[in-house]
Amino acid sequence: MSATLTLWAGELRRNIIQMKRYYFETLSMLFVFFVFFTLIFFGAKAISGGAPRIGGGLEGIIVGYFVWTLAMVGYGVVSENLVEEATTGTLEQIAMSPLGLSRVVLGYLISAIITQTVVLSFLLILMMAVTGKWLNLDVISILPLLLLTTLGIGGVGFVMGGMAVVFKRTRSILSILQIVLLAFVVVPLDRYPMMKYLPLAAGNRLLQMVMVEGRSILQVPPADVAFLVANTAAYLVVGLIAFGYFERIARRKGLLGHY
Amino acid sequence: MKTEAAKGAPPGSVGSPVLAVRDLVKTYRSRRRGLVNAVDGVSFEVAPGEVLGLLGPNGAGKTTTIKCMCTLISPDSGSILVKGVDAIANPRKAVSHMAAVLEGNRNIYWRLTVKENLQFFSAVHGIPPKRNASQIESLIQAFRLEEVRNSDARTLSRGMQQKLAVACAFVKGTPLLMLDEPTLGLDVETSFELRAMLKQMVAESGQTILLSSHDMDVVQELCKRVIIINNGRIVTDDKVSNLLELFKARAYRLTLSGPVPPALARELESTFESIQVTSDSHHSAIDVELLDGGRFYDLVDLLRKFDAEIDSIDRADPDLGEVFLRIVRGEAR
Repeated sequence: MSATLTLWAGELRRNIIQMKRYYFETLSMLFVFFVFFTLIFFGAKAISGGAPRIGGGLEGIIVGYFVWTLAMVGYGVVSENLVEEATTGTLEQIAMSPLGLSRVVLGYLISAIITQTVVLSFLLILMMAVTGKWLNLDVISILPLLLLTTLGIGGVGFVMGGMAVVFKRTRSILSILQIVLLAFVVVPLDRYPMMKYLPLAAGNRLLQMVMVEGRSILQVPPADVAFLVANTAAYLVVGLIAFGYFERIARRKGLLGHY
Repeated sequence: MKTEAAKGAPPGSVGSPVLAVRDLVKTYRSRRRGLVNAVDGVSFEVAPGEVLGLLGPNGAGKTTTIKCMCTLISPDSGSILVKGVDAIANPRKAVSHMAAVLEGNRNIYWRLTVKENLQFFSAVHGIPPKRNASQIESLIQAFRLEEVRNSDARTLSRGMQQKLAVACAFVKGTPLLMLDEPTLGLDVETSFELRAMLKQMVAESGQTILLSSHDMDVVQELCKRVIIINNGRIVTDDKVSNLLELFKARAYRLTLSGPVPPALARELESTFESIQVTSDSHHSAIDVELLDGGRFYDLVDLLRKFDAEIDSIDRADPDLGEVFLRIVRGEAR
């Protein structure tokens, strides 16, 4: 196993251990996400006097909300973990990894995507059960699209994570951006086509095609998939470059150990 | 327990330095104090298998120096070579040769068990925990953590957490280890225990260690050589034994019969710097440091002039703490 895979496997193992050992935190997160969903769903239903029309109908809301919750994890995990490591005192230790801090942080993102996809699948099932709308759960088609969508938003998370290391107090910006992300999944792309350049929107649209319209990954437009791949790569690369920039500032100013 | 260091160069062997620092400079801009020279032209080398003590008062620049070597702080200028690798140009390769304990028990994951922590830090260094299983097991035993191997680190005593933090540095098997205040906050007994464990580990592994501590007993016991830093500059770089011998040779205690007459006391204080006279109705003691050997005879002549009866003359036995204080205060020349 290569050194990078060893590192990422170690991070995944740590993530799973902590999630199992502190399962109450995981359950609380699921509960909060579920309550928020019911508020959005039944609120939208009451306003529209029937099936809400935001983001492609009832099923669209479920998919959009599922993508948003997972995106929040992908987006928040980098900065939240970095802040936690800095606060508890382990940041300097991981910053001394011969594999580089960026690769350690990419490991946060990948292990969080893997574990949270499993955890949030329960939320998805719960949402489908409450609304009575059962979606197409073609795992082979969904997983790659979900991975690409979340990795793309992870690029934004890298920028925020880098800023958190240097500027420390970025929680309020994080919270505001979480709400902004919700807009990316509920605004219809056919009405606002430029939105597809933002993270989440293109992936959400493809996931809607698979989960709502029942298509497989082979039946969605290849150009849209190619666009999602390029979009994800662009956000991830920009995020990694920005993170490297902030890391250099932190090392120059000696900020890695102070919180 | 054999490490890369042990395989490459046994303790005490002469070879190219594991760590070579040249003209290291780091300046911070402080709102209150303006530009602060945290490290100001520090240069030294550490030979394979050597245990070097880094001493200095708070704010002297020890931790900044260590963090520069650990690549956590980028210096303004100077060079750092770790096993010949330029740590400024190639930090990742340089850190593959080193591990550090920088914040004691805060350097571990409190939500993981002892064993899980060791496995995780092995993985962070790119070593599969399964391949490192025997090393992990021997560290658990060496640091006497067998009974708590499956306990969450947060439930351990501070001493055990500190031991685990040090074990997590050793698990990487690097030739160079930086230990910044490894016994900070420990009670006397635990500090003594950790010191003994470190001594044993150093002897067995042959690793090169840079140790920074305010605990002079730890430094005196583990290190053969010390560097003393003050105001960002190296003020002393010598063997511990040389420093102790130097101060021993300079410091005398003379015991006299009867009290010292006031006229003699005045004459002594005006003739000799850093002299201390204590007396009661039966005896007197004179503690003095004489940089020039000839001055000793001046002292004896002066006592003879006042008909003082000398009971005994001893060379004082300073400890490293005393030596350190005198160097930092600028009393030693």
